[in-house]
Amino acid sequence: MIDSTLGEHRPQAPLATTPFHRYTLPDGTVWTEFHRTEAGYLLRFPGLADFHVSSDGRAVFAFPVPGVDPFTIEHLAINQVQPLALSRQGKPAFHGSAIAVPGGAIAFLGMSGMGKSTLAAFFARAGHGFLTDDGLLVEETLHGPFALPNHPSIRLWEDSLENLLDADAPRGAPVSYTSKIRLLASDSLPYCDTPQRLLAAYVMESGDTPAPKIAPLVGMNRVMGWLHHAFLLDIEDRDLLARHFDWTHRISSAVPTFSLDYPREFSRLPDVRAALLAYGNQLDT
Amino acid sequence: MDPTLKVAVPQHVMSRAVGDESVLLDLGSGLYFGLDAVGARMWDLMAESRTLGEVASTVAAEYGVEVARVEADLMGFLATLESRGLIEQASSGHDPQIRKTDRHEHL
Repeated sequence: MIDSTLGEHRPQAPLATTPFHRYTLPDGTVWTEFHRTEAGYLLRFPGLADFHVSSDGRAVFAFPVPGVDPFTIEHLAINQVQPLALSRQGKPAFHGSAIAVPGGAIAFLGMSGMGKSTLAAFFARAGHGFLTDDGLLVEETLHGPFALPNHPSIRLWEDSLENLLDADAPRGAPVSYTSKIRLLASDSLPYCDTPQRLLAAYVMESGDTPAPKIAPLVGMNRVMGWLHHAFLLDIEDRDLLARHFDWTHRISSAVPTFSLDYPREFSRLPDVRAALLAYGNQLDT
Repeated sequence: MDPTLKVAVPQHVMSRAVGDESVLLDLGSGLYFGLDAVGARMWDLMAESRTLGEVASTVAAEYGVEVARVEADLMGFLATLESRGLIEQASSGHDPQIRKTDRHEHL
């Protein structure tokens, strides 16, 4: 659990500290600065908001920049800050979407732009309730790793929306920093709100293939596939880094993991489903 | 290669076996390194405080190749590990310097 508080709007004053880590966009723009504070961490999203995260990851205080709407703050909190804060609590979080299948759930691990939300929406339309379109939260249990439901919405680009959903599909409020559209869960886009045993994970590849391809990931490639998609707030905290390595190793060992590549064409998504069916029969309803 | 030498695994390096292979984590940099099956076996033997000569002869026997070839591969492997700070300076084989911590798991 995270105790989240929305503070007052305020300008982003220059900080005396030097960020110990940064996320940058492909064009070099700084997306997130990571600073240490006396109480924990300050995550600065330039021009959008500052998020103060307690050292134990249990409390988050958001301070939007004047003019930034609450939906944008919610969006940042759910998709960016919450997974990082949970990592401070020792809770695994990964860049991934997840859908329900008979007996559990399967996850699609991928960084932004790899198509994991599109896949989640496609399968949800086919009746597989989605647990998350990003920020895959995993809980280790005596019965193996479980995927946890995150937020009942999926963010899609306009072209994905046009190809996958009806024009009148319920939408959430727009978010200021992206033109992605937030689709709310509905009868035609079902949401799975209960934890599901994680039956398999698919690491999404670049799409440079003429036909869907699935291959098992073994050995170092398997754990590396998970590590590459893991959220971790403070990579300089050696104790947490060690624990993070251990839990990722355990999860990757427990969940059959595959690479998944397919042409990024909407018309080929049924082929992806067929390939997954043929490979593991996990989608067979 | 001095076959009597042993190498030490620094406290800031963790390793975890994944099948026949291994992944190393440098807690100082936060970087991960993958070892294939042969590298993982060499790492395992070094972490067990074997001399470099023992490492080479064991791997040569297990893979059915000449010791000289394994020694050459081992030297390259050691250079790579050392350049990344994943092993410490070699010491005399008669005085093992392998460090063991609760974060280091022998493979």
